[in-house]
Amino acid sequence: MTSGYEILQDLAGGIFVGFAYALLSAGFSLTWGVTRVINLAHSAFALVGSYITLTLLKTAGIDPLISILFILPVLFLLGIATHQFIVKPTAKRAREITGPSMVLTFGLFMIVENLLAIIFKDDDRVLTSQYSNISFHLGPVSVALTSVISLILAIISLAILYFFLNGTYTGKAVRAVWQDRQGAMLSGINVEKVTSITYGVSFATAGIAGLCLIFMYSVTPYIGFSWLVFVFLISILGGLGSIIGAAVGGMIVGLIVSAGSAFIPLAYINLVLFVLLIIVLLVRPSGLFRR
Amino acid sequence: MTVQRNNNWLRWAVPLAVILLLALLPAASPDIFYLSIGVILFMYVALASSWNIIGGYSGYISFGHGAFFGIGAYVVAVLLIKFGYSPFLTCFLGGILSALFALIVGYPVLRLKGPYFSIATLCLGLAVPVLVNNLPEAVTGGGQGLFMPLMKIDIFLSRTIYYEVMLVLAVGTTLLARWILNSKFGLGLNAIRENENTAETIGVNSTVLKLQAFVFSAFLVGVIGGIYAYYRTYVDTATVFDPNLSIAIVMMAIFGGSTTWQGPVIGAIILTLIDQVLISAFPGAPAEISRLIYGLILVLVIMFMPSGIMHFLLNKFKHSSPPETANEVS
Amino acid sequence: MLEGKNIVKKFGGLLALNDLSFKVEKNEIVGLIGPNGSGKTTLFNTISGLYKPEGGSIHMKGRDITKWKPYRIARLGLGRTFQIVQPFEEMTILQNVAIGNLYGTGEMDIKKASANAREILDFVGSKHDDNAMASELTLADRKKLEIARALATKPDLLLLDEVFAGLNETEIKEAIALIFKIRDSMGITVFMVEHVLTAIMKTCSRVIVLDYGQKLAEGSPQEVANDPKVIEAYLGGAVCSK
Repeated sequence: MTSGYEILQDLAGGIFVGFAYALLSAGFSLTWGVTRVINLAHSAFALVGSYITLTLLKTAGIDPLISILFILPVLFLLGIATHQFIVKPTAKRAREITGPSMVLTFGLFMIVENLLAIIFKDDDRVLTSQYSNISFHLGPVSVALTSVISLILAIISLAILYFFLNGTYTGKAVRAVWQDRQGAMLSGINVEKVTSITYGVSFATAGIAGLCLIFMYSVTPYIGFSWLVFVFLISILGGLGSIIGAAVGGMIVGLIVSAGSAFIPLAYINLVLFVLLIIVLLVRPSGLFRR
Repeated sequence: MTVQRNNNWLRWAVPLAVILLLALLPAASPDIFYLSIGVILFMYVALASSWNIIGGYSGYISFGHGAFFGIGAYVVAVLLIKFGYSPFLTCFLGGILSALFALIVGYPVLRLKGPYFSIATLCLGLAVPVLVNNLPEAVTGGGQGLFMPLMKIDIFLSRTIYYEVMLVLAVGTTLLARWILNSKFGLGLNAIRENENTAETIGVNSTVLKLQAFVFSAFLVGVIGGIYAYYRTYVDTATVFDPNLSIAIVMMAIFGGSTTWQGPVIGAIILTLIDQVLISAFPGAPAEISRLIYGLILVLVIMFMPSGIMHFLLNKFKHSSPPETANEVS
Repeated sequence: MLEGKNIVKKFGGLLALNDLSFKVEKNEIVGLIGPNGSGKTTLFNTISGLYKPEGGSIHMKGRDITKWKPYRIARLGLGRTFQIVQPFEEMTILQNVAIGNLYGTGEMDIKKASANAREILDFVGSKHDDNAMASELTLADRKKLEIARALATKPDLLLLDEVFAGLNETEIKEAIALIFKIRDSMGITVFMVEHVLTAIMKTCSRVIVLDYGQKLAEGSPQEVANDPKVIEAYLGGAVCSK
């Protein structure tokens, strides 16, 4: 029988992982917002962030936190490139982009996932750094240092993202494009540039989320799909496009998954989440927080 | 006048000839491998065409049709093992059960729009196998799955039977899809895809129409799942509820051109063949390379033909042979 | 034909329609004008069922349609066009209109619907090949298409939302003639939102003026044009009879 401590432990774990997924979802909704593209490859790029971290540590002994300095520019550029060379030309030719975008990004997902699989093989990879195996007690709960780092990283990233979107000129331009692409163009905003930047930011946050996740769990090249499912669940609960919504949705999903696994076999979680999803959607068809 | 009549004759003669050739293929005693490819190929054509009724025509992109496939499969398996009923009959029951399930789930889920609908159906596709796994083990075999008795005939003959049955399903569902596209029902679905609110203001009851499309496509997919179950003679939740199937049929329909009836056929044929070809082309190298190339093909084709191959072709060869009615699409 | 009583429509905290009552009698051509944001399109959306009012009621042909879904209202006999024209782009002109006939009247036969559609397209003066895609049309022709599509549902009441916007002089004359034809040959009542006041002056027997979701004035076009309240609402005489 699970004790009170264990339940608290699970709940804590849920919060940690929840924020990482929340960050992943926030980035996912960015590309949806500015281009109405459903980027199925988002979690694959998060994995790129994870593998960059692993590789840097293994080959050059670089501290995972320093990896951020590599992840950010690489993924930012990947985002811009994806928009300029893949999404933009497709959007020019398509009457409606959302349907085709799913096939497009799924193809991209397959490319990235299998590239990673070819390079890194299908083994579980764990991040063993100076931070591993250190834990301390927060009240009755034992918490790993890596989890705390991940949480702090995720929360800071979410906060920066929030500030970016609401406090900076570019961020406000992003929101304008989100609301009304045509209108933004007419207001003099360089929509293409803003969109590319948004993709860069989206991918960069994906990379950081990948870093957060690998602090807590092991990864294989094929874990992208299950991350994507979480992103979807959070996107529905939190609504596509609200940072706060993503955070709340992330917490809810994280809590349910981890607390749930204490009481219910893991397999049922999908069912529970789905039923919860249906209920939420019936009540609020665009998620808990509208954008 | 005669020029037009020749044109029309050709339009039917060619596909008919192809279908006949395909149907007669087994008579040439090919390697059984080709029959197997045929079964899978025709199955995906049928699945993609069926899916397209809700996904392409109505624009509600469902990522959960695998749920209906699996339900059909399990119904057939259980009825065969428990009662010895022939799958070639019980597949229709499988379809009906899938349709009923689609009716119940469809009503809330179809209220969602765009990405929310797709995500919800994806979750549906993931949740149903969990449910099935937890049904009483005596009924559905729990995690181990169910083994069905093989047909007591020569394997080549049995393979041929599935080949022909799947061919019939492929042709049947495609003809149904074509008929629907040119019907009042199809026009209504297209209107919903174009602009659901506007469609409502000219009298289209979108709630009912969407539900009909969803349920009907679920029925067809359930039937196909039932036949597939008997072909595999083994069902378990991992195989028949594989999310990759749900995703694959979406890809095929959109890749081929989801606003047409030909699109899913082309998409299914091309992508299934590519998949099979890639597997045999790289026997030494791992599956990763094949899948990488598959992904590359998806990206490249969609970049240049975002509305699908068929749409691209139709626009390229736009010649006006004045149609009789509002509905001449093919 | 159409009667709205004490309609209230809110969007969050914003009161778009504030205790609004109005009537449109059979065979009238009634105009609805008002400054931007006064609630004209909101009213149309509420009447046609796209919005549900928080308060009040709407009756059409004696039936209470307040809570009806849009398709049911359409089938009862309400047709409408949109401020931003919304043809079904990836369908042909003929298909656009035929769908209206099929779903608005319960017609089951596509051939008949197509024939009806062709008739209506002639009626509105469409000079295009029926099989042209809706996406290829100019603005004026898209408006004609939308009217044709609405007419195909065999309405008793037609709501026109700013049909005259963006039309040149010739097109305006054509449209005015068309509206009279609609009323006189088809017996359809017309209720139109407009900014182009020439059109209002020349077609409407009665005009309702909206401001901040309330009825500001009502009367013949002349009366309304000279009403000081109306002039003030438009901020300094944008209302002038041309």
